[in-house]
Amino acid sequence: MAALPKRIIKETERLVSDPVPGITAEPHEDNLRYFQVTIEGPQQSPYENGVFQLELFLPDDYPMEAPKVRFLTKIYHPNIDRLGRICLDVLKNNWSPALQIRTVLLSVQALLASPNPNDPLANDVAEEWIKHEDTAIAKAKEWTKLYAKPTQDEEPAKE
Amino acid sequence: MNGHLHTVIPKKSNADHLRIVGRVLDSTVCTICHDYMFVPVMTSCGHNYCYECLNNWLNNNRSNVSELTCPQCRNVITNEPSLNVALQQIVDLMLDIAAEDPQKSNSSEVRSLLTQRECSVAEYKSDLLEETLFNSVFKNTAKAIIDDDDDGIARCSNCQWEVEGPVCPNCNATIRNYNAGAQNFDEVDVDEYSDGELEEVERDLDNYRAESARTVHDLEAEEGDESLSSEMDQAWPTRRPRNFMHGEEEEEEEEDRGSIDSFIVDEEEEEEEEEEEQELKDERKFRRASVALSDDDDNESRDSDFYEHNDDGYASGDSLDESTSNDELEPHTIRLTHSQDNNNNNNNNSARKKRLIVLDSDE
Ligand SMILES: [Zn+2]
Ligand SMILES: [Zn+2]
Ligand SMILES: [Zn+2]
Repeated sequence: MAALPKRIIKETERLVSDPVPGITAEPHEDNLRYFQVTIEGPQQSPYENGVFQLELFLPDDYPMEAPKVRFLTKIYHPNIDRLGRICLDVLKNNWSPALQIRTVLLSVQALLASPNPNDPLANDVAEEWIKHEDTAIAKAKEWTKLYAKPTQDEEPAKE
Repeated sequence: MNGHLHTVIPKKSNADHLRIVGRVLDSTVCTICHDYMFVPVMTSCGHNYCYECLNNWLNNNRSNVSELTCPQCRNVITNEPSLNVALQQIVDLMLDIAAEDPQKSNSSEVRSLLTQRECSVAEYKSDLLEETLFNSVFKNTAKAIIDDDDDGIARCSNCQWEVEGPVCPNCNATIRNYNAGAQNFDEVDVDEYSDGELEEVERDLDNYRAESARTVHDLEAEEGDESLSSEMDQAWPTRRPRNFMHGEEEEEEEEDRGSIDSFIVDEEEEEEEEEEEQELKDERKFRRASVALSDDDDNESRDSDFYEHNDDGYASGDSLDESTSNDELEPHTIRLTHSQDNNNNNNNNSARKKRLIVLDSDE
């Protein structure tokens, strides 16, 4: 494996020494480009009180290329599909090398606070979200209770 | 140089001095590599990066999109970023002072920074010398030509290589008529223009202009007349774009510059100039043709199934942001002329720079 760029070491150090509130990110001992992440559901969102597990991987070209991020915890959200993939512009065409792991994770947290059913990744969820918002939000809350339990260990999202 | 701040700041408290030093040090760190910028380059929007980092980003960035953007503010970068000498001097001073400290406990760190600086400066200097700064991404441009007789394959106007994206895989030229939103090329009529002529004309013109500038300077030296160069300076920036963009005004314009140019060029160059004028006319014809190209909206229905399933299970490629970023793009026909304008400006700038260097060196 190629040497870890200084930037990744610095980012990791700062994630540990100065963590973002509501977010944790720990590098895997065997692979320092692979992070286990938790994000707390934002208050006043359907995901409130939930703790979501994610994985984050820094590709070889990082920071020229965006990190790859995926939800491991099952979540009912119009911009996250059932495999946990996230539809978020900064992870794709709007990536910039001035962004960091922490800013990316903050964006993911913000996406939980404001779902955007008009730019859906999970089409069925988005449809429900537009047609029957109340039902959709109720379902998101239910799933949060069911799957995003604070104390639980990793819950695989794959069905 | 002794302004008011020079008097006040030294008298401030230690805490203030530390705050200043901390702030200055922060401003010497690159937002891409999070390390010190030993060769800081500044974009037109005022953001600084290591030359190497920005170079990487611009050349990585453009394989996906045709517009080069600033990492910090996402402004489109059209002009070649330039060395920020003031910032470089500050970084240099900091490292020099750190290196001369006799009881340095972290000397290996300092030594590695010194090596880093040496490498960064060497890389920049070599690219500067070879005139390949930023991989020539701001200089090396071409057009995709689609010939229906050739199965409608898009080819690079520079090298005839088949092109698919915004960059020619063979000669590394930026394809000017690549349309990022529609992921295809604005059509160019192959009869109007079919190979690297445009680039050649532009290069010749640059050389020619640099030559004429030298002639002006020589004349000045002989006759002690300094008004010439200032006249040239005034005429320079507007002359070329006007000639290119408004063929109709050409006659009048020609007379105007005749008074200066005929005065400074020798016979050989005059012949060259005539040739170039003809080439210019051809080019103008081409430009008008390309400007008049379709105005139709390229925001056509995009694949709604916008992500591909990778083997590794991550979403990839185009996504919702394509539509958002596309909204920010100007209609492509405007963009096309735009980029050509910038090209002209760039060429003007570099030609002018050359002139200034010529003038400076003789002083
Ligand atoms: Zn850098
Ligand atoms: Zn900027
Ligand atoms: Zn080419």
